[in-house]
Amino acid sequence: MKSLQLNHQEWAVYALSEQSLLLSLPTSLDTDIAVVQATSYVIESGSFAWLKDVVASYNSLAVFFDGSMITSEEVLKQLGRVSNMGEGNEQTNKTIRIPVCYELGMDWEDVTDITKLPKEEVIQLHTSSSYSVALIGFMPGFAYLSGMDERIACPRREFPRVRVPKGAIGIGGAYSGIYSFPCPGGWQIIGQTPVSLFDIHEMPPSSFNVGDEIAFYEISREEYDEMLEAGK
Amino acid sequence: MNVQLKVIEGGLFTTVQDAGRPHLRKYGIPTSGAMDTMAYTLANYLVGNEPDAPMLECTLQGGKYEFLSSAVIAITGAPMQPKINGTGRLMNQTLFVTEGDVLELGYASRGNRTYLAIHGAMQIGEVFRSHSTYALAGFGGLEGRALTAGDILDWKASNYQEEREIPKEWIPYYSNKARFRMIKGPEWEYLDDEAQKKFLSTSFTVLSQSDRMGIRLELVGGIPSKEKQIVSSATVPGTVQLTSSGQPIVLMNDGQTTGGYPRLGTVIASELSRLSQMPFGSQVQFKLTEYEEAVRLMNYQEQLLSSLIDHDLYRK
Repeated sequence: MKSLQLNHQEWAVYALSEQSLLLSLPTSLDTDIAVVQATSYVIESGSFAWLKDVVASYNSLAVFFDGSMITSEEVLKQLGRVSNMGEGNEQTNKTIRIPVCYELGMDWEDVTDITKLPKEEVIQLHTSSSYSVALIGFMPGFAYLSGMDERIACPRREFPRVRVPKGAIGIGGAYSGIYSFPCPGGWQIIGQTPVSLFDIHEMPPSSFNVGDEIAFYEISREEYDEMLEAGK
Repeated sequence: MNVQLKVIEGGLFTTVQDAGRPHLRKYGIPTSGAMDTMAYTLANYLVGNEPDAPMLECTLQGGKYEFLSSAVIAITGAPMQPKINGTGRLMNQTLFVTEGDVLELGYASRGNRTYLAIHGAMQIGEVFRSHSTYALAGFGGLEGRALTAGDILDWKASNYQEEREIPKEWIPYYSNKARFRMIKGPEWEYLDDEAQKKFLSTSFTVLSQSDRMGIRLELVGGIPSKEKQIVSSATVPGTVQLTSSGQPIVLMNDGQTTGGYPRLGTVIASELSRLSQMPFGSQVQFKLTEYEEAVRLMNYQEQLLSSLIDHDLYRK
């Protein structure tokens, strides 16, 4: 198995497909998210003509390259030569504030049962945490957010819903998540956002990238209806 | 001239597909596009379209279509016994239809997916520069969904008369049992020696829950693994995941871009078209191959196809 020195880390290297490589860090601590995201930024800023896509996740990066332009061996050589960044993150991350109508949550009974906390306190803890986008996957624009207060962690539902509405805000294990599309889902839904976070007519279609910071704030049902109408 | 088709019956699951939207996985957007890229490429070649032009991908049972204008068409992929106005017609060659002709595509007697290409530029909007349908998220193609009775599709076409035919050597026999090469995945070592041997000697059954997202496979008892989950990480079409019940699933064109199941391997690119033609109840086996071999086979297949198209080898 190969390894690659990049951005002061030693990454294990796997061929994910003929035209993609997986770079993976051995541990899965939350601190790796910042490193993975910073490394993703370094690679994307490297002006590689052969680079097609980079998919960052908690502790790994998939690098997609044009196999008609370059071999995987050469990709690794060029990545190895990328000048390493200094300490800390030189990329500017956005903080995105997302309004949530918690009244529209569908799983409050289960969530209060599991956490043994009243609804108001769960909302308090959910809105006072600061989150980081750890992963975009599962569905277009579905964001997995790290940084949630562990007191409101809840396992996924035993029987996933056939359809979770667009804009649903959920808790899945230790993570909070945003459903950008209606789809099947197993997370505990605690609220709805009226804001559209994914637009198929825009590039980039997502309002956020891996590494961005997210904060939730509470809105009333009336404010939710108003914002939803305004967004149309 | 305007070419128009009306859907009389949409078949089991017919969608508009083209070459897909391959490089948006960072946004959680899968590649989509035609599942059998060989049949798709040959269909566009037969009607003189660009290699990435959109067409209809039919699944298992093709449907019934009325041409509201004359058109130049071709049908490739799984044999669906096409009939025009009740008369059997051949697949894998250019066909000329006139206004009022009704095309009927039956049940696939072998394989899974059949492609209907029509000469011209399909008049349908693009999403992220592709006409492919991603039904789970409801975007792309015709309103992000499968075709249904009453749908009308339009093409702008030239007065086209060229005729082509694909020779038998190019057409796979879609058997009900096949072995697929895969390269080792990042979590191949989650299986101990015995489990690895078991995996490579097993004949898995393709389940009816299989779809464009993935091919679900079954082995009674499953394959044991040291760990049942991984920290979510990137996946690609062809990724063979081992789900928590020990049953594998091969992610395909509409599959998720990341996953939390161990990735045992990746089916090689040059065999994904063939894999997409394995119907419910068929048997799938896996064989390990080296990365370099996978790349070589991918390049070889691409060169063969390019050569066919560039030299227009089968123009009549």
